[in-house]
Amino acid sequence: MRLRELIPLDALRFVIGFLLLLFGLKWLKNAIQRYSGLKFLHDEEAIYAANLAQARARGEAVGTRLDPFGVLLSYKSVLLEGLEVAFIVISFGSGGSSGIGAAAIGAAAAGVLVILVGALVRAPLQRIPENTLKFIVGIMLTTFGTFWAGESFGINWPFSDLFLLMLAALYLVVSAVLITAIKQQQPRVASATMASEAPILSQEKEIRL
Amino acid sequence: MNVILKVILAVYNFFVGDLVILIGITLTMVILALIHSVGALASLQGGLGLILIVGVLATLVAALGREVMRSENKQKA
Repeated sequence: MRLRELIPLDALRFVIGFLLLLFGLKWLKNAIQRYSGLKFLHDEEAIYAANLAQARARGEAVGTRLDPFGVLLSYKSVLLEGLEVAFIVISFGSGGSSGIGAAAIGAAAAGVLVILVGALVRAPLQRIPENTLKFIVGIMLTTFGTFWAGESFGINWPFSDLFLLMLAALYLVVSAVLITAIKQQQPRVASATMASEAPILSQEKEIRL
Repeated sequence: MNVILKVILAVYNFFVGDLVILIGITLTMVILALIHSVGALASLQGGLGLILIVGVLATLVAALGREVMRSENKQKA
């Protein structure tokens, strides 16, 4: 039995659209902050080196053996990312006529492909700007979130699915304008923020109300 | 801290992590739901898409505006 046979399609679109909007705006906001200098660019290597130095400064032994806590933390991170993939699969599955099965097969194929490509081109991949990827993902999630949330309220978007491209272009342009505006209006903010946020670099997902 | 509160905060932080975004999107959805369901507001139904897009963009601007203000306050301090 399909999910959309159990739950009304509009309710499913609303929930998925709402969640995608929350995820997407969070990613987009962080990416814009980093582009405009309000936040440090995320550098995993630097964070790892800083954490390693902190551990050594506390007198902790930093060895090469398998650390159970590290394994658990990595597993948790991958699990969270996997959950995001699940949301995207459900979103695509509820939006099209081919259903969850096709979306799941697509996600599984993409997973295998990413692992293979990642293994083959590991070094060049490390040079792809992380913030650029997050910015694009933020735009995509916000675009799909808007589209499906709108459809749940009976909105018939002009040009049907083609409107997704227009929506993405609109969010891209607005984001570029916002980055430029923040850079121009707050030239001094960057240096102040860089100094004050340095201690929380290793706590990227801190709770901020 | 209470375990339940920890779980709630973890879920909140995983999904959104920013109160402005949560309130902004929720408010936009409430406005859309009202226009969609209340008969007296039926004349606004043609502009639902525009209201949604404006709501999303306003939320993004508000969330970024707060971050800019935070940075300014840190600088002043």
